[in-house]
Formats: sequence, C-alpha cells, structure tokens
Amino acid sequence: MDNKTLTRGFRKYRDVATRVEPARTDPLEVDLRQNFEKLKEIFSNTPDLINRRFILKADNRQALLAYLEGLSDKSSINRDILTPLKQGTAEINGINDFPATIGEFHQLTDWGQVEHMLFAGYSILFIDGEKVAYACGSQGWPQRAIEDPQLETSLKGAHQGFVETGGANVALIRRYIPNRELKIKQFTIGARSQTKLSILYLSDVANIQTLNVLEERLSKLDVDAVINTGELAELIEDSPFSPFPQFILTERPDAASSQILQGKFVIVVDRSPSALVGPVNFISFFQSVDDYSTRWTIATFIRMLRLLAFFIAILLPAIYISVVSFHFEVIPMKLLSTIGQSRAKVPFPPYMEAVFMELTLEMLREAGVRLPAPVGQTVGIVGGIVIGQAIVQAGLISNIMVVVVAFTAIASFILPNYDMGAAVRLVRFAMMLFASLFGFVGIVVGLMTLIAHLLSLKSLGVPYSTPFGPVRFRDWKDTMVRIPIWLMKNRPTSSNAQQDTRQGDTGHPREDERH
Amino acid sequence: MKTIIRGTWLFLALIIGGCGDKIDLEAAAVPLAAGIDLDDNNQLRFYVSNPVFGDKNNEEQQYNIPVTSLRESRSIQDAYTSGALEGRNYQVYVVGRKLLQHENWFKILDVVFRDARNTVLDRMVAFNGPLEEMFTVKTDNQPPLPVILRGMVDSKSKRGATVLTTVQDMHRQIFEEALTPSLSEVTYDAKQKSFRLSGTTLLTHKGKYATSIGFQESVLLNLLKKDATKGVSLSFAIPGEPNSDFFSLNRASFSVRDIDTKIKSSYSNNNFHFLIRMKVSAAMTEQLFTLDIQQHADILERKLSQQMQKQLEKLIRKFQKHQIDPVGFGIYARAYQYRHYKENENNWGEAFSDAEIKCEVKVTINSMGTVK
Repeated sequence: MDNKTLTRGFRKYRDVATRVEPARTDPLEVDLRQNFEKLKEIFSNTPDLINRRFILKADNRQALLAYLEGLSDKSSINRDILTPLKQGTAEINGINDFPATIGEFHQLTDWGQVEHMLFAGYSILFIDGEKVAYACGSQGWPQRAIEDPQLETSLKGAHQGFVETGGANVALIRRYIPNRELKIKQFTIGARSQTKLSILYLSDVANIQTLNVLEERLSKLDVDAVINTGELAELIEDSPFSPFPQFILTERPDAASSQILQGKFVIVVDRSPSALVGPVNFISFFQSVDDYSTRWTIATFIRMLRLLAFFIAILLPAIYISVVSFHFEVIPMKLLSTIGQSRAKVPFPPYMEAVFMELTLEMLREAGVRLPAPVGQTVGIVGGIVIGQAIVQAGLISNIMVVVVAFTAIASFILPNYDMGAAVRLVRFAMMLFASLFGFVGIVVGLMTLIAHLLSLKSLGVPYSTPFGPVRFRDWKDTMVRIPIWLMKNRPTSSNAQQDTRQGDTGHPREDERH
Repeated sequence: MKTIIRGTWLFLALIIGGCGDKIDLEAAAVPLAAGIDLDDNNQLRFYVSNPVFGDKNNEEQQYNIPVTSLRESRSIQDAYTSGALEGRNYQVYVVGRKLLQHENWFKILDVVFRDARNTVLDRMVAFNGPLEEMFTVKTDNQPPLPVILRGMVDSKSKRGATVLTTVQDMHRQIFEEALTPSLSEVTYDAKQKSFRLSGTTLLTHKGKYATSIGFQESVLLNLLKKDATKGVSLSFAIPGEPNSDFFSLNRASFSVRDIDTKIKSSYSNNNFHFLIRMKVSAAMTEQLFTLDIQQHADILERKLSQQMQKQLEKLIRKFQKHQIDPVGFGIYARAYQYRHYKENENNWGEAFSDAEIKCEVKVTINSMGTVK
C-alpha cells in the first residue's frame, strides 16, 4: 500500500506531540537565595511543595528543606532531619559525616537530580554557601496494608498478597528466597510516570539469554507512563494480537517465588499490586499454588478437571449448535425427544439462542465484577431470571441451552487464571461461529487453528506449548498429572535453567525406614 | 494492509459460504422407525413413525405412503410432515412378512447405502404380519414404537434370544455368498395388545423368507455363530425324569459360563463335511427334578450334552431343509476348501443342504447353584 503517506502521517503526529523535556543539567548555585528562586521557578503551581527555612545550629548558616507533602514521612523529617540540624551542635562535614539521623543519604549537584529526588519522596536540604544539596531518604506515602490476594485466593497458600509498593513486594519475595543469588535488576520506564521495575531472578539458575531478551525489550520501551503490570505485559509480550496471555500476572508472592525457583523471571512493577512472570507456557495457567500443598493424587485430579473444563468452556456451546443444526443423528434416541421438545417452542435458530445466552452470561459476569458489593446481590437475583426457568417458560430459550450455558459457566469458573479464563471466553464465540457455519467440521477446523496458534506462540522466545509441542516428556510430571514433590528433582526444561537439578537429594521421604 | 484485505476476503468467503445442507432439528422431521411392505393390492408402501415435538410426551405421527422407489417418493414422504424428512435417525427398519415372500426386495433399500447421510446402524426387524398393523396400532401403555422395538432387539440379542442385524449387517449378509441373512422377528400379540419379540427370521440368499426359529434355537444359532455372549441361558427337558400331569418337572436350565465352538470343514465324496465341537461350561440355574449334582454331575452333564447335541442337529437339519446357512458354514468352506467351494459358490445353499454335519457337544457343570 501507500507506505509513504502512512509514515508521513505518523511523523507529523510525532512532531506535534509534546515531549517530556529532557532532564535538567544546570548546576546548583552556591547562594541559597538563588537556589530558592530557582526552586520556585521549576515548581510553579505546586502547592504540595513544602519549603522550610531554618538556621543550622552548628554554624549559623541558612538552610532550606524542601519536600513534597504526602510523599514524605513528616515525623521522620521532624525527628531525624530538623531536630538534629536545628538543635545539634555537630558540624556538617560533607556527606560522610552528616548530623541527620537518617539512613539513606545522597549528595546532589544539579537540578535534574533535585527534581527527580523530590518526586521520589526525598526531602532536599539546601545549605547556604554549598554548591551541593543533600537528599534525605524520608519517603512515605499512603500505603495499603498487606491483604489476602483478591483474584487468586487459595485454601492452603499464604495469605499475603502483593501491595502497591514495589519495595514491599520485592521484600515479600525475598522472604521466600533469602539467597544471595536472588538478583534484582532495576529499570525505570515511562517518561512521565518514571515507574520503577525490578526484574527478580536467580542468577545461577535462570537462563541468561532469556534475561537478555527481557532486558532488551524493556530498554527499548519509550512510553508516557506504565500504570499497571498489565500494561507492561502488553508492551513486551511476543504476540500482541493473540487472545492468550503470554505472561502470568500474579498477586501472590509465594507463586512468584516458586516461579523464580523454577528459573523464571519475575518483574515487580512499582505501584502495581501484581507481578509479571515469564517465560510461561500454556499449562502453567492451569497450575495453582494449592496444587502443591494438596495431596498429589487430588492435585492431579484437579489438574485434569481444569483441562477438561478448558475444553468444555471452549466447545460445549459450539457442540450444541452443531449437533442441533447439523448432526442430530449423533443424539441418542431418548435425548432426541427431550431436545426436540424443548427446542420446538423456541422461535430462534440454535446459534442465535446460544449467542444470546452466552452474551447474557458474559454480561452478568462483567456486571458482577464491577458492581459494588451491596448492589452485586441484585445481579445474582436478576441473573437467575435470565439464565433460569423464567426464560424457558417465556419460550425464548430451550431448557437444554440453559443447561449448556450453566455448564460452560461452571467450566470457565474452574480455570484458576483470570487471563486464561478471559481468552477462553473469547475463543468460545469464535468456535460458536464456526459451528454454526460448518457443524462438526467447523469445530474441527477451529480446534486445528487454535492448536496451530498455540503451537506458534512464544513467551520471551520460549515456545508456549512446551512440554507438549515441542515434546518434553520430562516436563510432563507437572502438567496433566502432578507427581509427588519428592520426585520433582529437576527444574522444567522450558525455563532453560542453568542448573537443571533442584538443590538437595530428597528421595522418597520414608525410604530409609523401609529397609 | 494487504493482509487485512486478504483476511477480510477469506472471512467473507467463509461466512457467506457456510454449509448449504444445514437443517435445524426443529425444521426437520426425524423419523425413528421406518418400514416397507406390500399392501393388499401388492403396492409397495413406505411406513414412517415420526416423533412429534410438542407439549405432550411420546406423541408419534405414523403414516404410510405408496412408493415406487424410496428416493423418488421423497416429496410424498415429506408431504405429511411440517419438516423435511431426514433418514438420519432411524432406530429400526421394519420389513413386513408379505414383502419377505418376494426375492430381491433388499435392492429397494439402495438409497439407504448410496446416500451417505442415511444411517445404517438401525436395527433391521422382520415383522410377522402386515406392516399396516404395526404402524397403526397405538400402544397406550408402552413407549413409542421405535423405542420399544429397538429396546427389544438390543436387550434380547444380548441374551442370544435373537440376532442383532443392523441395516449394514444385512447388506453384508445379502452380498456375502457364504451365508444367508437372519433378522430379529417381531409379532403383534393381538390378545395382549402388545408387540412381542418372537425369535429370529431366517431368509434365503435372495432375501426371501425361509423359516423362523424360536428363542432356544436362536441361542443355539448364536452359539454356532460365536456371537453369543457369556450368560446366555439354555433349557432342556431331560428324558427319563418323572413328569407331573400339568407341568413339566423334567427341565434343567443353565447359563453358559464359557463356550468354545470349533468348526472343522472337509470335503469328500462330493460333499462338504463339517464337524462342530462345542465345549460348554455351564452354571446350573434351574433343575426341577432331584439329582445330587455333587455326586452325579457326570450323569447330568452327559444328559445335557446329549440334549444339546440333539437340538443342534435338529436345528442344522432345519437349515439344510430350507437350503439356508445363517451360521456361515460357507465361510469355513471358503477358507479351507476353496476349490470345492468355488464350484458351489453360486448355489451355496444347495451345496450346504447336502453337507454332512456332525456335532459333538460337551457340557461341563462348574456351578450347581446355591441350593443342593
């Protein structure tokens, strides 16, 4: 097509768009008054900037403490900065012997640094006659207490979920892996948001090439702001047009830690209560933390249940459509009269019936998610009318369709990962379209397309469908079956770990006693 | 951009194409039972039993139409229903006795096989009477005709009391020179106003009615065909045991635990010879006379073997008399005596009727039941 026009259009747009100004490099002044003027100039219309002028007790020099209200811990400023400086007699001899009783301390030389530190919640101390300023680590902002994870509830797992502070989240993971090999690489993304990202991984386990891929993608990012982990995932994933999630977004520190131990990478995004895990494969969306704390037979049963549910959720309405409008010879005789009787009263063709009901279900789900809890009950009551006996009695929908919808709903609720569940919901409609056009043939074509797509997907360069395609039999131990933990001695091959074997050599727990 | 346009074309091609033969369940008439027979004027008639999906349960629409050929008359078949008649859900295909009196009737069913849409797994049933009767009777206290017929055939054939012949099986049996077809036989019991499975109908090679056999004979036929599953039951009168005046007290029944049938063929004196060796291990289920099995099992075993052998021989004589071979001895002949079989290929029934057949039955009792 006309590539030139397109490029020109983009370029024009790019030129017009306002860019964030490059960081200032102008140095600080020696005179405090000049510095103060400059500060007021840079931060015009910033009422939450507090400027506290005082006199140092030690040498009677003028000083100015500036900080952003709300991003700083006021009691810490009073106790650890103002009090020692105003009342203490110790002299200021550069950064190494500063009288303030505060942990983190930086020396700043230009206005760019000042700006950056102020926004990060530091309080900046200007002293008359010094060409440098001091940033004191007095950050403190509104924080939520650590709570139970909302999306990924678990029966037996930990009850601490990630919060909105990156540092706290990293600490939560560190609590699980107190090991010096747990490395953290920090990035700052977002020209305006200056969001801090931390890549966490085990340096002697995780694959370096994957790390390079990840680092390269992150460093190439040039965006305005990254508010949430979900945005980041979309910016760095391999196939942005796929309905399937290519990263796990987890709000559980224990899940994130166990992924790190497998040789995966976890990205903690500051201000976002979920961490991003990669590279992942298809089957890991069917694993949940509880699988590893329930008995392995039961965990295996539940795994298979989830896989079954995956296919039911994708295919059941499609199968209903194709059976009723193409292949009613496959219906057993006794069921035929039941289906026939309930279909006879319905004025709509099966595919319309199915699409209508599935859409209703999706609307109910979405309504239930967004509505505040007190109103939420109403959704349940009203939903019972739409997906229930009333709609059948009204002659709009057949009994069987209601059962089909209910089945699909239950099946899609079983999937432990929300993003995978959402993908399934979308794929279901495509399948229904195929089924309404071509019956079973359509479903088979749809399934083949789906499988081909899953096989072609990659997550950070690692095939999405491992261990099924490419076949890695060794990794099947934690897929459809979850073998006992004492038999899982190796890390999954899909993470290309440097260290293949997990630490320790635990065989059967009672092996010694059996002899 | 190119890919978008191409994708759109592809999508449109898909959507607009669709499948032309799509038909919703409610727009179709899905008869569950079909039948063909000759009426009083020797006109071929096609019978249909069609479930009507309405408020009432078990409502069936039953009608019949004169036909010359099945597909030619399709529009007349449709004419009686609100939907389009689809032959995909037949459970049973019934053939009337009158039609069975004529040879080559099976060729009428060509459309069933040629049009792949039609089902071929429906049970073929021979009705002992005019089909008119079967398709007009309203069975009030019974399930609809297709349900009851299929149920009868399925459950009874499991016990060996009849054969299970699907339309596909029938096709094979007609075109297989080395055996003759057999069908489940159903009779209408006018006195009790209900249908009754009465055994097995045996046809000649051309499909003409030859003879019927009852339950016990059907079990034996199934044992010979090696189609009988474990658990089929046989009952014999033991001669020499005292009898009461009104009811027989000389009967012994057993269910077959295990059976080993061996058929050996040979050819000599311009005749086929077959030797049937049957080893039956039996669990006694009924014994009306007094005999201490624990002590004298061998006596009973011998007597049962004799009786069973006698009945088998009688049954085979019956086959030979009618020049039919529902067991498929011809298949053994073809396998082991091919040269001689080839000579008689086109009139196997005749050749079979001259064959010499010997039976050796050995019954072993391995369970006497829970009473002494």
